[in-house]
Amino acid sequence: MKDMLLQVEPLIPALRRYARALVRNRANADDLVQDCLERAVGRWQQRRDGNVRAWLFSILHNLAVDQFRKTAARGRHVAIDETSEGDFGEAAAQEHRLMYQDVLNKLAKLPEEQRAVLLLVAVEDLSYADAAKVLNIPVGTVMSRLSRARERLQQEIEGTVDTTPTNVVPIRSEK
Amino acid sequence: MNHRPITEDDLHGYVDRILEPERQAEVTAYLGDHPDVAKRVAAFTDQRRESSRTARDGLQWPGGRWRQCSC
Repeated sequence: MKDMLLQVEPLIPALRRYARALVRNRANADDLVQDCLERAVGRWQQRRDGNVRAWLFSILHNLAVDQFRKTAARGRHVAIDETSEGDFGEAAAQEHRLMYQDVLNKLAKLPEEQRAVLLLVAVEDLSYADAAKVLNIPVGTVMSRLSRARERLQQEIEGTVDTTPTNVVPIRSEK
Repeated sequence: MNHRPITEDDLHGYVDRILEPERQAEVTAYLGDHPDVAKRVAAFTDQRRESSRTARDGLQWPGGRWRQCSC
């Protein structure tokens, strides 16, 4: 148990960061992390190899996907806080910060499956193999999603996307 | 000398800095000869740096209340 705490605790900020960026609703994200930690406690003895980080991210990701499915089943509900992109735009005065925020704003417009790959690889520094494990997809699929995600994000940044959503960001993946 | 062609995967590996030093050098040389590709790769590197830094700085995510910047 002590061993578990030592290994899991330092990873909690990364789990929160990933969950919040993925589901874009802080309360839901924090609930997901809580659920993830509870599952991790329950399954600690069952985990296979030594990579605790990838193991935790995969529990978290599966919970997030379940939540996306439930949300989709309830109809077209977009999980965002009351804060709208309008509030976000007001920060425009602080240009330097905006430049960085803008990347995240654009990133949020990507389909969930592309966003997940980018967050795991580019923000959380997971290897391609670990990202594949977390997402339960082959490494080749990680690579193709990563490539599409980066192209798409660049189009968003350069303003060359033709199907830009207005002020609503779909959280479901585009199949 | 064995010159394997540079693939799309190599370019992403270059951005994510996971290539073997030798391969990293080959990609660097390739980018030197292909300015269009170099521009794209530089853009991907910027994306990576900015999204990582912003997420780690805890700036506000759009639509979500992240820890407010106290500056």
